This record gives sequence, structure tokens and C-alpha cells, in this order.
Amino acid sequence: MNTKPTLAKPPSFVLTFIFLSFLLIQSACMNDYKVIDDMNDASFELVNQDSVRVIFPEDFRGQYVVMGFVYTNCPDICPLITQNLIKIQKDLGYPSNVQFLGVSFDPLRDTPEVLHRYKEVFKVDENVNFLTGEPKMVQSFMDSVRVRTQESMRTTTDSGKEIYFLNHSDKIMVMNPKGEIIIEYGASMPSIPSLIVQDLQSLIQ
Amino acid sequence: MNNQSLLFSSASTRTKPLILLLLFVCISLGLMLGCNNEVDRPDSALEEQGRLTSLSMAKSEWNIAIEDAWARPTKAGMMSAAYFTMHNVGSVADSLVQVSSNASKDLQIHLSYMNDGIMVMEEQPFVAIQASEQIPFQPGGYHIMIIQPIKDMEEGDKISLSLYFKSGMIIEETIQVGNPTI
Ligand SMILES: [Cu+2]
Repeated sequence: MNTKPTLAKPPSFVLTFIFLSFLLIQSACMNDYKVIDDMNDASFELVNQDSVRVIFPEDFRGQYVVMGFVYTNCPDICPLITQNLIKIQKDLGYPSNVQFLGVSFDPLRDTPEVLHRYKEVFKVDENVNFLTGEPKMVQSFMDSVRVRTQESMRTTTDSGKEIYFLNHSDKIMVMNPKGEIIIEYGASMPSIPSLIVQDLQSLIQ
Repeated sequence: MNNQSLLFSSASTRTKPLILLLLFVCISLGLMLGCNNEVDRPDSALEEQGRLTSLSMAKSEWNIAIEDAWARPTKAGMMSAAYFTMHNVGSVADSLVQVSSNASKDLQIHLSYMNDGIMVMEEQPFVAIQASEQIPFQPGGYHIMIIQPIKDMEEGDKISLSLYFKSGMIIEETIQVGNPTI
């Protein structure tokens, strides 16, 4: 008579245990991003759109950084990346503890003044910085975050201007407060902001 | 000899009906063809007429619409792009071969696409459009590159956009600066 309830107990206990451990594992996984790149092995001296010196990653330690890569002579893809950065910032409610960066991989043309104008054109918030620097410095920075660029289409236009464009990686990255890049996304797709916002919200809370 | 002639004559008597039959077939075929020709003439004339009407129809059925056009705001000397949907509502294929605008002397037809993890932008010599086809010119795909506009292009401004087609047709549009859907 007594055997029936005692037999019923163990399976329900096991089920509860499995359920709880599943929850634990899942919540652990959700916040546990693998380190893609540790940015602490080097430091890069760059400048922002106001010619203010920026040391990467030191200056951003202790904060999450959302970072996109653009060049201002790009009329099609880079505006999408820039607009996605703007949207992420807006959808997160302009958080003061998250830094937003647009880093140019075209330092020859993207001087601080050009980046300043670019920010104006896109009505970018104060709290988003666009970075450039010495070409060699920028190149080694791009190498360290594995952003590839290649010159394409150097042409002389009908009116005699020589112009060139760059083919480039399409990436937005998230760096954690320890200076480690933990997430990488395709940058220009319209679905990207909501993904990044979701991930950041789970990280920040 | 006798045997041979016998054989021969017997052969010729056997082939006679065959020759007659062939003759009959030839004549009737000739008649049929002749008749056909006579019947054909008005037919082919009709066909020719039809072809001509379809040609003139083709001209009147050339109908390419540029829908939802806009250009990206920018400052003088920077870069912009124009976007729209090119919709062939007519019944003949054509190709967009050239573009011009009062915003800049330098316009190019471009295509952005992903290649091996790299975003590539390429000039296109033309963009072919089939009858009834719709080709979107949108961010991340086909676009009209406006290189270093001579003036600032502010939201709400208007610029001209002319599209030249292989057929000789030209579409002249006034398009607005700023995306109305964003
Ligand atoms: Cu382009």
C-alpha cells in the first residue's frame, strides 16, 4: 500500500531537478559569450571627429562598446551601418553606460573634419564617436578586429574627378567592459539592431 | 534475251502504276502547294500587317514607371545615392544605360552585394528589365550613385533625375531628398 506513493516521488523529483538544471544551464548560456578577440594585447591611438585623442581599448574599459566600421565616401552600405548604430542607441534608450563607435577604415579621406560633417548629415547623437587616425595605426586596428578592406573601382568620372571606393567587411561588434570583443553581427541588415538590442539588454541588466 | 525481255517487260508493267502514282502525288502536291500559296498570300499579308501593328503597339506599350524615388541627404562634395523601383508596366524589354541629374555631373549605376564576407560595390554598364518586371533600387542593392553633389542635399529638397534607356526612351523625374518611409 505504501509503495505506491514512494514510487511516484522519485520521478517527479528527477523531473524537477532536470527542469531546474536546464533553466540554470540556459540562463548561464544566455549571458556567457565566448571571447572572439581580446583587445587588451595592443593599444591604438586614434582621434575622434573633434580631433580628440582616443586610446583604444583603454578609454572604454568598464563600458560596453558597440562598434561599426564605415567610410564616408560610401553612399549605400555605410549609411545603413550608421543608421543601424543610431537605431540601436535609440532603442536602448540612449544609455550612458554603452559607448557607440563608428570607426573609419579610410583615414586618407576621412579626416576628423569629414567625420564631423558626416555626423551632422546623419544627425548622429553626441554620444556616438567616429574615429580615424594615422593610416598605419588604422590599418593595424582593422587587422586586429579582422575588418578587411580592398580598394575597388578607381575611376575618373565624366567631369574628370578621380574617385575610388572600398570593398569592406560588413560588421558591428560588441566589446565587453573587460575589452574583449564578444559578439559580431552583419552590420547593414535591417534586422540587426533588434538582435543587438536584445543581446545588450541581457548583458547590461 | 527472251527471258530478259520478259523479265524487263514484266518489270515495266509493274512499275507503270508506280510512276502513275508518283505523277499523281506530284501533281496533287503541286496543286496543294499552289492552292496553299494562293491561300497563303492573304494570310502572310495579314501576318505582316499584324507584325506592323505589334511594332507600333510596341512603341505605345513602352511603359516604364519609376516609383517611390528618393535620394539620400548629404552635403556638397560628399556622396549620395538615389533609390526607386523601376517597374516595366509595358510589354517590351529594355535596359537602363545612363543616368544624369542636376545634383551632380557624375552619376553612376551601381550594385552593392556581399561577396565572400566583403561588401562590394560595382559600377553597372546597364540594368536590363523584362516586360512586367520590377527591379528595386534600394540600399544594399542597385542604386544610382550621386558623386560629390554640387550643393547640400537637405531633407525635403528636390533634384532632377533622368534615366536613359537602350530603346532611346528617356524618363525625366523630379525626386525628393530624404526617404519618406523612414
Ligand atoms: Cu555606389
